[in-house]
Amino acid sequence: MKRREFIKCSALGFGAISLFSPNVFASSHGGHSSKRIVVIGGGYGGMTAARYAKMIDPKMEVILVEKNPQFVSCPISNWVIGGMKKMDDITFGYQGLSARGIKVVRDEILGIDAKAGFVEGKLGKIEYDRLIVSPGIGFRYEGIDGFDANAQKSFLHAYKAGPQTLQLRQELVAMKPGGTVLMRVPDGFYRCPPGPYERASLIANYLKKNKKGSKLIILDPHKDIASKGKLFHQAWDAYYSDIIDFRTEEVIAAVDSGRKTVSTYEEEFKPDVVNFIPDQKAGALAFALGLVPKGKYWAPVNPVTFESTLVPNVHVIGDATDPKTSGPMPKSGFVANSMGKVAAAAAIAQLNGKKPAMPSLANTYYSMVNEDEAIFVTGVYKHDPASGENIKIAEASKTSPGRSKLYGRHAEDWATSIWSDMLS
Amino acid sequence: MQRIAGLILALVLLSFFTGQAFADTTQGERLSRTCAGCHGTAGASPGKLIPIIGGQLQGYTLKALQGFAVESRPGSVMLKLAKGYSEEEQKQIATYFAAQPWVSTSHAVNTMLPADLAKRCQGCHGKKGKGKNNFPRIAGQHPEYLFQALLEYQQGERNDSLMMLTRKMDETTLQKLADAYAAIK
Repeated sequence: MKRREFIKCSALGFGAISLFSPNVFASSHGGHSSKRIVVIGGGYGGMTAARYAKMIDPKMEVILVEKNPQFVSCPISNWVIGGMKKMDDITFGYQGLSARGIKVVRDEILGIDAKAGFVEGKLGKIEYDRLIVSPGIGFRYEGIDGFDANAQKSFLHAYKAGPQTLQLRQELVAMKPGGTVLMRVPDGFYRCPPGPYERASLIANYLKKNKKGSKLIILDPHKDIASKGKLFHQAWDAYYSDIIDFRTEEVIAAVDSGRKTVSTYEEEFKPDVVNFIPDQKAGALAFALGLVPKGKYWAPVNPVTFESTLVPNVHVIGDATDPKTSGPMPKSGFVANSMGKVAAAAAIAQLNGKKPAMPSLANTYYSMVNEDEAIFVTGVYKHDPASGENIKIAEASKTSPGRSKLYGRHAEDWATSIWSDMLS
Repeated sequence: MQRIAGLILALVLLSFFTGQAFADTTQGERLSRTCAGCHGTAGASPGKLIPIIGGQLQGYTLKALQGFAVESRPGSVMLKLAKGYSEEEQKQIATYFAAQPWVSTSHAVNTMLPADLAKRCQGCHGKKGKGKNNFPRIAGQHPEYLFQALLEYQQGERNDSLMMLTRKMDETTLQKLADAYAAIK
């Protein structure tokens, strides 16, 4: 389909998410004349990669494949759980990307033929010259008694923004005053290290103002708060000392979805509301495409180009990457957005026979501690040719000196900015 | 010899006319892409308190980055982030942003700039607030950011002898200035 025709199509289908050209599923490799980059995963990493690929090389054919009809942002979803924002505030369509000439396809990709250069979804095969995959995360339930399919549905993680975000919010609103909320913090590498603690802060804030006498028990496997610990403790001591019951080095032994209980090896808890954030691994797509080594949980990548070390011509970005290969950047939306730009530039460079540039990566996490005040942590990363690894620049990677309303307003602006950098 | 030169010239011209080929990215652009997370694509910040930096004068952006890095200029995240870039890299970043189109704020309210105030600002910031040399463009900047900055000068949190004139201004005047300059496209 010629570019001009496609834009006409997207004007008609404005607001419709699924816009696909029959040529997307064309059979022969010679079927598309210009080079083609296919991006799978319409989140922070994937949207950014697709958008920047098209911006950097307007002649490149760029296809974004996403299985969900809309994008719901996990960053800022804690604010919805805390009652400061609504689901509408964090839910977006893909029309901005369509308007740039990116073909947005609604499908679920199930497999790959890396030799022949195509991926296969429910709707058909899509050929690529370069593939960029942003699979997000999946959850691990092994080692916990009783975490069957039922339990997985009834114990909300709300750690992939969407229906569970709203559900958790509704459960908190419906809870009687004096009730107990239980939150479980994940172990190992997990998405957004400060995420659970921001959520705990905002839940506690909601309970303090709306559900007098309620408690929030946090079961944390770590020795202490895993990110910005001092700053969270300061806020909790100041605001939530009679609400938050923070327990460390807690290991979950079992859950019972029938009785709605969560047990460690020492104690059984029967809370009114449970937010169980499981241990994590790369999203299912990473495994389906052979990007994760046997017995491992994350996708190893080249730290400069984010190419998979297992499958040629495929880049992996975002939370699914193995930090032991990609570097000390935490799993965050900001980092996924950074990686998307690096991978897009690298893929284009390689398709044009050029040497990929050094990666430029950064991070800034804002965490709200109540409806006004936030704390932050920054990070700047660069490639160190001597070690062959990406490293953190220590002086640039620090926490905020305290909490403030100004940081809270910056947090709001950050969201506006990064969304515009991905969606428009 | 002339024929070869002519042929080369023809090929160069041809490459320009056969459509925009992918151009190598400068180091400045590459480093600046991460800034979009807070400052918007190409520095066209859509927020309120995070400033527009796309199209800002090179001299001022560089001065700001240098000030953040040694903490002589107040800030929050920038006090840390700026330290992640060498002097040379800071120059490249400032140069990149200076070359981007300035996209004015979308939430300015039409406000007249009083002539007596304008006279005091335009010497450094230019008649239309577009800035010059190391004096920043302020025309079309977010009004919230401008007000915050003026407040910081008035309170002495930001130190610049040329901005001392704010010390004698009250908040209403500062707000008027911020709104007026934000409204200039």
